[in-house]
Amino acid sequence: MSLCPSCGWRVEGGETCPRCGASLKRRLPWRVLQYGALLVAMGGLALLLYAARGTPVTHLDIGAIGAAGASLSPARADAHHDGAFGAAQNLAYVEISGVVTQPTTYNPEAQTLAFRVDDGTGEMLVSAFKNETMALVKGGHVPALGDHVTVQGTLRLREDFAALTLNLAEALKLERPTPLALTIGAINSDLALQPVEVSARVVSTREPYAGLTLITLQDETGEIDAALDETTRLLTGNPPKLAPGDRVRLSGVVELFKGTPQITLITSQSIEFLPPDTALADNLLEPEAVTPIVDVRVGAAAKVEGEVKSVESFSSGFSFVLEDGSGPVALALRDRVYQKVVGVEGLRVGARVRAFGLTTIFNGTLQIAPEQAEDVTIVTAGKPAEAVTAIREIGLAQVGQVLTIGGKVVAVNPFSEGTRLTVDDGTGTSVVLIWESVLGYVPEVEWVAVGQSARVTGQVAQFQGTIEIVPQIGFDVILE
Amino acid sequence: MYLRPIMFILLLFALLGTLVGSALALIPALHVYTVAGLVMLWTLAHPNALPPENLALFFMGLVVGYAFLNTIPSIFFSAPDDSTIFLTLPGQRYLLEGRGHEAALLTGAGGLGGLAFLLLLTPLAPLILPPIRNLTQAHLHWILGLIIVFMLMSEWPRHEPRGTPWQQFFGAWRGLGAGLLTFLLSGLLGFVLMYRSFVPTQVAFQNLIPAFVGLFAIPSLLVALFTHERIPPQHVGDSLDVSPGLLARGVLAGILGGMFAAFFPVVTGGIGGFLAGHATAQRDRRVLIISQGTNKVVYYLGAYLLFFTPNLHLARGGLAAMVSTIFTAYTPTTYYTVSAAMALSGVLAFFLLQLFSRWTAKVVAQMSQRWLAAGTLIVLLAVVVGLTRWGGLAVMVVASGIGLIPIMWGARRANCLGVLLLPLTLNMMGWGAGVAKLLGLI
Repeated sequence: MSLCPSCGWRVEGGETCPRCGASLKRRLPWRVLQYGALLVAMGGLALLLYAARGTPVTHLDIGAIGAAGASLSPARADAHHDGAFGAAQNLAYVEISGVVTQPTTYNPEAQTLAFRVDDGTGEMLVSAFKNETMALVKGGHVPALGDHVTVQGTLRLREDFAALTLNLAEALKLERPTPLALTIGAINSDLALQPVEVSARVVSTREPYAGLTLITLQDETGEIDAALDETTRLLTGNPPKLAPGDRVRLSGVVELFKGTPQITLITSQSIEFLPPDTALADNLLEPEAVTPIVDVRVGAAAKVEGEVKSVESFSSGFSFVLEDGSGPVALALRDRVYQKVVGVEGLRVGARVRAFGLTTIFNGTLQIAPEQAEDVTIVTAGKPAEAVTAIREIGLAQVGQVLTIGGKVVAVNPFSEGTRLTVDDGTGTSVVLIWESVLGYVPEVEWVAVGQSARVTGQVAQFQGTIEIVPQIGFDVILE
Repeated sequence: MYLRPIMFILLLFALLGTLVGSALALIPALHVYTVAGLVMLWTLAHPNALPPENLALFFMGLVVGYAFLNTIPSIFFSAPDDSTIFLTLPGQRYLLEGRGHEAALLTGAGGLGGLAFLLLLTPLAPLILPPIRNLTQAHLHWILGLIIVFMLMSEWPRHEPRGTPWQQFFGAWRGLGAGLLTFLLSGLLGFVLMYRSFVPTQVAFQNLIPAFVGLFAIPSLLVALFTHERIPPQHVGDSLDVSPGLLARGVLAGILGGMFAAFFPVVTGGIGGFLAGHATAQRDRRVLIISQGTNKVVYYLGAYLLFFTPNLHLARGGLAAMVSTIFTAYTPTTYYTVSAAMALSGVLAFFLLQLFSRWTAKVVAQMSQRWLAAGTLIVLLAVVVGLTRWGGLAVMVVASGIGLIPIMWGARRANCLGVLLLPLTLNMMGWGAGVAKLLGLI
């Protein structure tokens, strides 16, 4: 008489238990399973841990998360299909990279810190709490406006809100770009979020409300406000006392306030006093020597010389691309300057031009903008293009090229922003679109009429399926 | 005041959810959060198919059905989830006595008591819970720390004292050590999941599913697969062996455990059940069973209800975390509608529990536990792999090994809750990321 090892029933020999049917002979010792479970648990976990350590944290585009949580709201039912899955990424441990787009907020009592990151596909709030906040503050690693950051953390997604929680201060990698030394006049909205450094005179300091200090600065090229907020003061200490007339070198990040550029200080220690007799390095006096374009520094006044490679009209002026063999620069001439340039009819592709002005960045391009017509000298005038292309040879493949056509005007259609001519050269007809800003410079434009011969050089464009020739300067339309 | 058509539709969605939740709750070890996750993924893939508010009410019905009826697989098939692990042992004793149906109805009675409590709490919750939240917010880390200490220290040796003093010592510590090891290993697994999960980012909201399936469901199924336990015929009576006093005591203990679990972050229904169990276990097993029924209903429903509570909007529990990504309850009307739906669904679920329990009691003796376990195992494997891919499967396998330790070595299965308790409590204490760094995860 013995007991069934499975159910404890008394059994007398036999192969199986009469009560539970368990085998009485071929049995797996319980100990094997016990240690087996331990082995699977400990070995498996060790392997999992090893594999996890080698697994990179998933890098996400913020845009792919952005629609998270909101996609099912009726108001946003048309949300991007992929984005709709964003909500399923809630609580994922991920990495994002981007630029800090707003000043960091810091609450010393609650020990919280938050900043917004934009990676070009979207923007997201990143928050740190308690220990992580204090570690960032004590380590001097609090992200500031304009900083490039890479952050790893836990995604928190709500219907109308997406944020990343920083779990460890070291999971934040921060890169602060070197500020660009500029004159004040060179600072424009195109430089938003760009770190800059200016040397200038203090005009005044004021506190529009408690916690915000505005320092008005001036140099030969202009005037700008520098702003120091309470968070920056809390994190980096009080700034030095400034008085009108002080000469300072100050660095910060360009931010737009109601569309106007201002310099936001990211540390109160970024203000350095200069000796009172320091001559401010940059002014608008014309340099004697021509600067190779490659050496032109943003924010400085420069004199360059080069050949016009292309021209583009815009609503209030013209932009010529100059090249001197070392690099290109855009010569921006506002209408009031352009019309007074001596020999302006020769200012076209192929001309050699010398110009002097303040160097800025516009739409990401290096640009010189002379203040007056005297600052532009046409060394060698350009000649009108002579090679004429048959209209029938112009098609979609030529869009973007600059070509010249010649023929009779068969229709004149003025409209609110310019005039459309239809030109027939015997091989076909083409529309010539002359914008209002260009039309005013077309020689003898008042005589343009049906039946007149015309030669037009312009950029080939396509509008609603129709090929158009768009002259960029008035002198490229020659009425014969 | 009249019932607007939109409210009527919302209530219908809740009742539909109750029917679906009740039916799916019968499948052993299939958790409601897994089902809700699948529904959620479908909804995200079809953004215009179901308004978020309807989905929120459907989920309420789903969780009500599950909270009442997951008792059935826990008692009849010994397949508990984390909220019913303390129900398995007394439930099994009832089952072996042929009283499985009675045990199921005892939990149902407890659940009904919990439902009544939640309804009474509905008008008061927006007033009393926000200040309590503000009061406890700064103390969560040590409260959770104490729970861990209590959980580990309240483990007792199950070994019969035999042999030399050293043998007795090691025998006693075998179970205790296994409990500690389970807690530690599951906690380490929690760290891996939190910082370097193998679950694809696209379904990160289901990050814990493979771990919970592995820790709680798979071990029970494996045991069922390899043992030959025969279930005796079950008796279906028309009354319960319980007095109003015992019922009240069980419900009260369950309310305390359930509310604690619902209100505090990280604390799950399992821990609520553990606390409720400790409040009642010494007295009467009927009280224990009732308290477990109350606890899980108050935990699951209460945690979800807190998300809609005006002035509070706490996202506690997996379901609220899921819904919060697509829906916000802006007005008290939604809260009261959800409460009404909870009441109606609760009553429906209670009657469904009676119906399904009666049916299960009749067929369970004829059912092959092995085939049932094998079938369930296949379903769970398919769900885990389908939802979380091979990475999730790897996590599930390791979690299963950990989940088997307390069964094999005679320790408390609640130690598996270390998967949440350890990393999150350490996070709240501010040490979590440091430990993760030490493990090389950050």
